[in-house]
Amino acid sequence: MIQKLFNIDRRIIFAFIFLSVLLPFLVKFDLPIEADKNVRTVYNKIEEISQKASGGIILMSFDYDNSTKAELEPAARAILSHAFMKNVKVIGMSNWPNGVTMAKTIMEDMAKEYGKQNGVDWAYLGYKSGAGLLMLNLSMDFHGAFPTDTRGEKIDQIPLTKNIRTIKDIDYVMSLSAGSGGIEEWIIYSQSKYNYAFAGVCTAVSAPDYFPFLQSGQMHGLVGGLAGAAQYETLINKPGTAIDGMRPQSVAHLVLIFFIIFGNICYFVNKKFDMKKERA
Amino acid sequence: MEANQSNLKKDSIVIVLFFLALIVVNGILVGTGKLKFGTEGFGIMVAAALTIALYSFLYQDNPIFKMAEHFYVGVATAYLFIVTWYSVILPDVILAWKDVGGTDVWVTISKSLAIIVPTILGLLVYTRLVPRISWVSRITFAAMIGFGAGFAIPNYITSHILKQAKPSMLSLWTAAGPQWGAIVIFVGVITTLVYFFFSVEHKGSIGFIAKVGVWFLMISFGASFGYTVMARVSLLIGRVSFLFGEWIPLIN
Repeated sequence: MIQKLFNIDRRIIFAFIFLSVLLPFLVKFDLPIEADKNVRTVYNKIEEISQKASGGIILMSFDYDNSTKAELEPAARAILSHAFMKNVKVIGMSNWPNGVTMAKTIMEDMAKEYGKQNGVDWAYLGYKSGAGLLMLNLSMDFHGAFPTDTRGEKIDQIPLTKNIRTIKDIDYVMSLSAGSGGIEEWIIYSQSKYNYAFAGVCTAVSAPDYFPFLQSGQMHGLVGGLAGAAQYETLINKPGTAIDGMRPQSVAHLVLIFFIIFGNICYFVNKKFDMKKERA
Repeated sequence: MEANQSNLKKDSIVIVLFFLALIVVNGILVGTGKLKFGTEGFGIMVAAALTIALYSFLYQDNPIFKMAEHFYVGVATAYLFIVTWYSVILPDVILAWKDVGGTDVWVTISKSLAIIVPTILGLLVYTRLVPRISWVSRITFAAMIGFGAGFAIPNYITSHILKQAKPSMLSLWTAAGPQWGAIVIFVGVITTLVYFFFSVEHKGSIGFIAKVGVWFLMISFGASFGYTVMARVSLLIGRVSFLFGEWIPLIN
């Protein structure tokens, strides 16, 4: 019996995980969501920027593609909602070519929801190759790095971008990153050199790698994974897909914790049986 | 030979059954008005089919999974090419010539060189396709490596060593009393560094310090694993909410 449990088919575990994700979507229950310090810092910074007479400008670099859409899109939508709600202007760009259409769609959707005008309240510059080089280039010469936006309009003629010469003319920079060509490159090639307020929005798997940058002050705030997005949705009081996802997330975690404990118990019991057999 | 034919037959049956099942389910969804008939509805059908095909690997490797995998590689490559063409090659290599002309000859030359030199370096990489002259591509790689190293190393040292060293050297004891956070960082850094110091045998007090370093490493790996689980579950949540929200409307 113990041997059977020890060699449990992994597909049974997959089935449990699948059900633990699906069922909480069908059975609704509330879970308390408290924003942590790093998420609150990003929220407070946008609030602070919105107090500026000009409304303030943030640069959102969409450095991810469809493979991590489920984790990063809710945070992107929540932050854009917050910015547009507070009349903060947003410039979007991408370091990941496969995420261009997706990023543009998110910006268009949110701008439409809040009645914002392209070129005046927001602009999407699209993708350029180079990652680190591009970051360094736009930090020194914004118009040189992105001569046009995705509509083909020259950015030195677009009302929102015409006065931006360097990265210092932007109030807050954030990278929504799923890996290489994202947060870390922004810190290495641009933030460390030009010392501006920078925040990261990342997948949960990469969040532990960025904590040292918070500690050193190179990164101002961090919205990590779907949980970070849910916290941001709580702060702006606009429940969305991230808050909805916290029920299945929590139940799936409980199921996994159960299987980890169960696996360990089986391991120790099995070890004890083996020792008894050896003695006999 | 016979085994191969039998596998081929089995694969064909799996593929036919998969598509039949999809046709039936999508037919019911469109027929009952739960899925729109049009480009949007078709997009959802294709996305749902590919999601199921890729998750089918969890049961076992199968031809449907392989088909979806190849489909993904093909689509992603084509998309990458189109985005690169319209975002980089067209504006920066072709249309950029429109801005080159001017009264100042030196500006014209420098603008022309800024287009010509990177384009030639880029094209040289393709000489690898012809073995006889493939050595020419080394010029591009040499430029890339030389420039990359010179450009990345100082910036990397600044951001990852110099700026990181400062928060590792905080006061352990201030007027307010012991700074527990700073103490944990201090102990963690020292013991972990000792663990990676292999010139001395890990015995006695060195062995004890290295063991503490191992504990710090284990806690760090545990935290990383926890976050990894969270990330993977989040991705599953995204797909489940798509399948049972947008395709089969079970979730409100």
